[in-house]
Amino acid sequence: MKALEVRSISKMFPGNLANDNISFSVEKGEIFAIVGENGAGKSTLMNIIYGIYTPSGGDLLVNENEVKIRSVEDAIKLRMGMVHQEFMLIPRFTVTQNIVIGDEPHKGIFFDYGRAVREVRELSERVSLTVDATALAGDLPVGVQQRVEILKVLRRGAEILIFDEPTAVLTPEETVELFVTMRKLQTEGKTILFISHKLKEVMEIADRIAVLRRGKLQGIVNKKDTTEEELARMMVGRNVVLEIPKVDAEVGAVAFACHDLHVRNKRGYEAVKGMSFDVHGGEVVGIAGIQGNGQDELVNAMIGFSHPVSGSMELNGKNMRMVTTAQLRKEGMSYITEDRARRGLVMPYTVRENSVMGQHLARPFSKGIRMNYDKVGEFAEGKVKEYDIRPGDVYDTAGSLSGGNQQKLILARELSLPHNFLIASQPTRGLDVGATEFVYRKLLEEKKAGKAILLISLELSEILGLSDRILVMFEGRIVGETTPDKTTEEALGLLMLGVGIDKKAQS
Amino acid sequence: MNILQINLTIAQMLDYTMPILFAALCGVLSESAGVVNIGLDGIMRFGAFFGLLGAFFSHSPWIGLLFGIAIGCLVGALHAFITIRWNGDQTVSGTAINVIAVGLMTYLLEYVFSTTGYSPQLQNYFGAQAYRVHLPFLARIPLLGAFSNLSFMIWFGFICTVLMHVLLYHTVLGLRIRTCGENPKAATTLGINVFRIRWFAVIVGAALAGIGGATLSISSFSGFSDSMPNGVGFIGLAAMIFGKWTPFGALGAALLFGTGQIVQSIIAVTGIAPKLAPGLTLILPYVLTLAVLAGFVGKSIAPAADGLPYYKEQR
Amino acid sequence: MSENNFTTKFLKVFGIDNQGHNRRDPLNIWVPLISVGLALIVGMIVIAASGRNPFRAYALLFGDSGLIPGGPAWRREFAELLIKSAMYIATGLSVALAFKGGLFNIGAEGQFWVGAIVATFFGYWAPVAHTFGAMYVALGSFGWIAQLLHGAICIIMGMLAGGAWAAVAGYLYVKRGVNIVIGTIMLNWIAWFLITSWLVTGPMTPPSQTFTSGTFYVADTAKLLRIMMPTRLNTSILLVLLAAYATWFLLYKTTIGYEIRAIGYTANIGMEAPRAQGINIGRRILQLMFFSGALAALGGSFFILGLQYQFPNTATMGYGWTGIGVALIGQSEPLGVVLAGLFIGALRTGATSMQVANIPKTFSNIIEGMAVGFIALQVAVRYYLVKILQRRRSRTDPPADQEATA
Repeated sequence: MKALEVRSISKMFPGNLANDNISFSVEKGEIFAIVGENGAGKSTLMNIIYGIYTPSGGDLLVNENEVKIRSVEDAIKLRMGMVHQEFMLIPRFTVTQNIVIGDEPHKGIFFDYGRAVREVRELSERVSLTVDATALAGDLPVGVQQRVEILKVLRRGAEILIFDEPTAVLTPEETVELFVTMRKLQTEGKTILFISHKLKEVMEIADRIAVLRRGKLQGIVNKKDTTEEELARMMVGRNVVLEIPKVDAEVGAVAFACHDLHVRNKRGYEAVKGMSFDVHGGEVVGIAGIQGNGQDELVNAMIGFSHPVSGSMELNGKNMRMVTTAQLRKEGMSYITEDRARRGLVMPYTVRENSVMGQHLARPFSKGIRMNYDKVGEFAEGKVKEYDIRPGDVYDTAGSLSGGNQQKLILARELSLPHNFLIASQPTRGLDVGATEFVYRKLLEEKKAGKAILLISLELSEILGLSDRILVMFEGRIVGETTPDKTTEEALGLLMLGVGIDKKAQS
Repeated sequence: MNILQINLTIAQMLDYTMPILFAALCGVLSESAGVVNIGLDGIMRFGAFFGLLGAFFSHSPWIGLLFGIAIGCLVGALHAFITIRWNGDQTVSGTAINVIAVGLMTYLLEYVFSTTGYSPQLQNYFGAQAYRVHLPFLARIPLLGAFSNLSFMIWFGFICTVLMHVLLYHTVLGLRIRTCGENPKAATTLGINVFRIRWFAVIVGAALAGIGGATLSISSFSGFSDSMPNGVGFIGLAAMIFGKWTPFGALGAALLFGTGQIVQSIIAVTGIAPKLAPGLTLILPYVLTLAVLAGFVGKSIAPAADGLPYYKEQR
Repeated sequence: MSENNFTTKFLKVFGIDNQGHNRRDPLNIWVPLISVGLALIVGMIVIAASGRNPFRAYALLFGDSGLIPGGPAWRREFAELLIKSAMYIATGLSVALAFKGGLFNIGAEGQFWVGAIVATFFGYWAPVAHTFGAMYVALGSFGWIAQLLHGAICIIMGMLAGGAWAAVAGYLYVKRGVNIVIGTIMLNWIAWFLITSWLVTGPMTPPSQTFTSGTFYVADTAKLLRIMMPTRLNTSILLVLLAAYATWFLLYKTTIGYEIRAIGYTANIGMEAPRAQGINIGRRILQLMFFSGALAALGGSFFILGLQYQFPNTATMGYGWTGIGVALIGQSEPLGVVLAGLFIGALRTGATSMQVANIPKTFSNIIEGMAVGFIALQVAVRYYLVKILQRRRSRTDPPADQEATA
């Protein structure tokens, strides 16, 4: 019997067809994986199935009956349960409390905690998911927290479980335990859907695998009939390649170097596990990788938002491990971010005011504490012309600009700061073709001028088109180093997905 | 000092403590659900006046108490309306309540009683001998003797503390209230209506603050003084923080601060170190609270989502 | 933004032309106006409900507020208006400046009194007072120079003290994560009790007398100069206007203000943009709190050096709290704060006359509180305002408990 069927499902967002006519079915008791790169449409599809989004077109069938899932409550009533990537646990409450909230066993108005604990223990035993029912959720390791989330979902009678990138936050040992759990659930007749981009794991646990690419279903394969390589090839197709002219430049001294860098993420786990690389003046070093493999943490360390746990970082030969952002900038670091709204610009500030942030303490924009807004205005006007920022009014707020123009403003600001090392983190995210071309042109100009450029991007075509050297980042490490002429998108894609890497050699 | 004096002093201390306690309990409930209410000082002022109003015209302090509860609910509903329905800034709303309370109660005092400064005295109030809770068998015992002749409101304060503890930690509703204060997003995914729960917590909390205000005018004193509540609401806020947002913690803190309030008079009575910086005991609540918040005295744990506005998600 | 275009045309009708720029917030000026307007209307309802004539009451209120020239007592009323307003503007600027940096300095009250007590001290402290007394005599007809200098010393010391007091809260926030609102509230009361229960009744009081009205009186040379005799009007209004200008200058013409505003705009989203540009958040916040406290303390020095000439036993809280309302009504802009401060000052001045119509003078507090309340509701105000203006589905935020319209 088909536990779930997706029929011609489409989802349209403004300017983006996230899901394009997707159809497949999942048998009861199956472990069904959905894989795809960032932006392939996996999350959107899951959200549709779970009632968070309504589809623009198509139908859903549960247990071979057509259903309308308009809310999470509807999904839960249909016996679906989702284990999110970000846990919804309350650290201060116990495991039991976290699991039973909303469906508490009670004696009148009183919460029957004793019975709740018993019920949780029974459930936990029945599905062989060991948890300490009275432990505080905040004290638990991530793998156990996930188990609590699974128990939460099972308690509400879920027969179809949806896992959203469940292994993203787990250690290898915890992943093994999770898979044991999934197999157990399978023997109980539960159906499991899970989204992932970790092909190795998908190959281990799934029965069948659907590959999404750019919103379309590329194909469904049986695990037995396929390999990691084939999956990767299906995931990574030919993208629209912009003509990026080759620019040669003289390679100069080392501007940035790091050695055995270890950086922790917000949760306290190491996200960068010993990276070493350098960037010379006049070259573009591209770091390719799928989102979530430590790039954000690496950037945070490089711009001074966090300090590495160990390892060294040098800018122009000077030790830069424990310094402030201001010191890094003084030493010549510039940073183009993809997070325009939070990190890139102060949205309520005008174009004028944003244009000089970072050099506002220097002449001619200020003398002592007195700021010279006339000079600021002049500077902004000049940049607006140079970078063709539209509309051309320097008194407009940054927030009123389109994404492309905002990015141009960021570029204008960062490139006019005295610098010799430029970090470009996904510089063309959300930009149209015209704006993207502009960014590429500027980056190449920088390279010609002898600046050292570190390009961090999720777009392979971008990496291949701009970089002189390419480093592939996977799970916090550099797993490959090559040059554009020695590799292909497919080969890079495989590396980015962790395919073909000898795990033993890594640890 | 003999036993009688000690007992009397303790009784007096309890008199000071109860308004602080009610204010603190208001804060505990409200912030457990995630809504900050610094207007509780203003609500106490409302409660003090309306409590007196009810008691005066009905010649019964019980009606006064009812009035205090009612006005607390009303003002609480206003705060809830502004902060929950319209996501107005919680601090600004609380400030508005405080400012309005100052002007409005003076206005009403003049309007109703044609006086300024003090309302007419009550004959029938909880502090009057006729209305006290008499337990004569305790009278001779040191310490316990303080409980032999207390105002009903003091007992009510203890009862409310216990009830709130039971509510928050032993009922289903209490668990859900605390969930809203910790992670309203999670609460919503679990099917809990965060808005409705917060409305409840704010209104009931405000009712407690109203009771606390009424305690001032119909229990500790026999009328409304235009200076009420004299900042007691803020001491209550401090007690809530020092008590780590728990009912019994609030009780302990309130007792401590209440003691501080009468240390002045103890010093006067016993003549110990008369000039020893009298302000010190008065500032004790605030200094201790800062110490707790700054981490010098153990970890201070507010509900995680305290004070943050909540928008219903639409992805 | 269609909302933007429509409002721009609407504003043009009223002569307020933002020249078509996509400016920050064209509705900014309407929120306080509407809030105050609604508050006044509700006030009329309150008066009518208590059986009095609202029109007569408001005629008294505004007629005797000092705003409307003419009438026998106008000079006196005008003087009272300016005297009160000076203090409200000072605390208003204090709170407004902090708001610009994303902080709610609810402790303006405490900083006000710290400024007051320190100004008092330097007003009567023998070494200082005698020096200036001698200088006054020595300078003969230029004696006013001594007065200016003594007054300046008192004010400056008061401002330094108030700034330091506020900086304590700032430090606790930056280094220890103590919530600014709670921190400043606590410091409020610590200052208040230390001053009123200890300093004013103890060390700073003349020991000889059995009953004192407060502390020592400040020397004549410390008192603020009188202008517009025979009224009580002193130079405080001029000083505070200077302070308003200085605040404006700080915010819009200096690097400090530039960074502070950047921090304020991003305070709710983690301040990542200013941090990424190397701005030292901690340092700026401390400076911000210091300036904020100094402004409130300025008001406190006005209270002493311009009015009371001593720190009286009868002092009651209120100036700092009013400052919060003034800052909110003035939308945290220096000019707005001046206007709002004058308005509240007018309300307070006129309210005393309302007693003739049997309305207690605290009526002005009620109006002010309601105005603050409506400002707290500003999301609702904007929502309905835009709805009324556009008469079609608005794209602003609806009530929180309803689904957002697409």
